Amino acid sequence: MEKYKEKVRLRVIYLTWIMLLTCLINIVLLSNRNRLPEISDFILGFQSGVFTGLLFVFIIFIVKYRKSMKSDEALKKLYIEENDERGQLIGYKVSVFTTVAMLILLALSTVVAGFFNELIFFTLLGTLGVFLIIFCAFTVYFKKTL
Amino acid sequence: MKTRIQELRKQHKLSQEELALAVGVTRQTITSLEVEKYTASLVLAYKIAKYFDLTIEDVFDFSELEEI
Repeated sequence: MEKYKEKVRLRVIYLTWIMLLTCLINIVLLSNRNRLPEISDFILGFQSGVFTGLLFVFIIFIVKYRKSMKSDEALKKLYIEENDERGQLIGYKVSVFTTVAMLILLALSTVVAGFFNELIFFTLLGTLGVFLIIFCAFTVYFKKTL
Repeated sequence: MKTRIQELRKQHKLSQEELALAVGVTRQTITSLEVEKYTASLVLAYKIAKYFDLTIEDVFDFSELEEI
């Protein structure tokens, strides 16, 4: 359990740094807003929402990890929660089904968009291309490593 | 897959939570194993069998396994 405790401790440190970095990026972007292109209120609201949401997620995880590190029992529960084999299988199946559904939807949307708007068509086509490249890269990687 | 987990657990007067904690899985995994919704990995099967001081074949029923 000591090894895992160290892992959790490192996670807290990394998460704190990432959270600080996210805050810094947001401050830099907000203070230079006048130098950036004009954007609608909706996009601004979306960006603020994502930033606030991320901060909350980081804080929740940091608190959760710090709490777990205080007792061995809580640490074991966290370990089980993260390493439960059924949970891992659920995660794997969710990923596979989501990937397939996204791929099909993206391909269909690209075809449909082609009839209406060229910009959307090429944006979706690009996304589909990147998706397929990542998919193939991971397939090759796991075939070689597993 | 059919298992004797529930029967063995009751014999040893164990709750699902206690068994789960002992073999390093969540209570839901033990429930899924008992209601035959989930098949344990080799490692988990070994841990459960070892916990009850039995062999894997004593706990898990392989008779309905499909032949290839």
